Amino acid sequence: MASAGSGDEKAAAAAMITLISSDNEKFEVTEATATLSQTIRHMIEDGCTDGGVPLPNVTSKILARVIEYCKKHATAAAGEEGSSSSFSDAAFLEVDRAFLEELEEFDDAFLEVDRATLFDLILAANYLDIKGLLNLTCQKVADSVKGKTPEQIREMYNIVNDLTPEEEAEIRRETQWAFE
Amino acid sequence: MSFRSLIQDMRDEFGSISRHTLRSRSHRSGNASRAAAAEPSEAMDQSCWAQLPPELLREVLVRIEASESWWPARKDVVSCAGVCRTWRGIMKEAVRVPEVSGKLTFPISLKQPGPRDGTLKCFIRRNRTTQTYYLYIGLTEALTDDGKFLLAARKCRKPTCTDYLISLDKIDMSKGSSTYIGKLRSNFLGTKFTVYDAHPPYDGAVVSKSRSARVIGLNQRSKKDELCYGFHSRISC
Repeated sequence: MASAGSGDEKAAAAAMITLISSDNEKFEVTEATATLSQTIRHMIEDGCTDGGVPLPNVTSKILARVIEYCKKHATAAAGEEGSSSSFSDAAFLEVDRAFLEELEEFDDAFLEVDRATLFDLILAANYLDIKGLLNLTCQKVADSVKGKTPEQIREMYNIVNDLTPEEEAEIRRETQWAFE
Repeated sequence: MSFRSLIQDMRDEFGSISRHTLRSRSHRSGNASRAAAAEPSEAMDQSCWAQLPPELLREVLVRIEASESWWPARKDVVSCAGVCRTWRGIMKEAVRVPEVSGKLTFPISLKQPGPRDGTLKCFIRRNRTTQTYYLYIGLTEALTDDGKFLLAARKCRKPTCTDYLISLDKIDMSKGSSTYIGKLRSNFLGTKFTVYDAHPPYDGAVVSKSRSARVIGLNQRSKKDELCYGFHSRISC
């Protein structure tokens, strides 16, 4: 029974999916890695992944980063599942915490990118429907504007001020009051 | 080559140089605050964020709204609502009225009904010499709590009544100021109080007036008083 289970797992791990970036670069990934993306999961379920999955909205540079993220998180998920059956509760918690810590460290390092890459990662996470990655990248942007004035945020992200003088006067009142 | 064409050439060259310097200078000042970002992506970095689809910008802004729920961190929500029209629209939509959320965000929250299922604890600091009052909302239970400044008022004694001019600004509490939001008028005896908003009665119609449901006996308070702030004003326009 146990050997049959591990055999199935091996078969699942061996199923490879080819992802094709907008600049025609091919990436071979395991199904477990690819299915972190809901978009690709649906494609696999519909059986239309033969000959590779074209991703015309994602460049090879960004796709490589996205795959790096998915690989790590897919392994972590598999590791957690595996550990739950073979360890006692205390040992499981210990391993679980180690996993989470390692994953957090990975996420922090993963987010050490310039703003243009971060922007592309958000678009890719949204297009590929990878909840964890979208959450991670959006939170990074949210954290980056904390403690900043509207002027500083505009400068940081090169946003054009298109507010009318009336709106600006109201905003000045609001921010002055908020920062009081 | 004639002298004139030589001058023309030089002029063109100077022109292009000064144009170039101007451009590179504005480029640099735009990026002054940015740390050394990767060079090739710099040009893209310039423009892409303005093109973030609104639904993704909303993903970012609702996170700020949800995580920075109380003062002083709540000011980040106000900042984001002042960036541009898109950010403002999304943030204003994400912030709900205090009656539902129990949170104060924009100064307008002060004129909106508070939460029904509880009270917001506030205190007033009074300056006897300048006849001014400062309303704060308590942030912690500690006695040393500095609170978040909400409103300021200045006492103006008149022959038949006393006015308290209320402002969003700690310093400017004059009637003409853009931060003036209304006044509290007491009767001669100081037993009844009426709240007025800042709308001038210019159109000859009925004076826009709002009354507070609760009578606040300001003159019985000590230096740092605590009062429960349940300010459900009925506005008749």
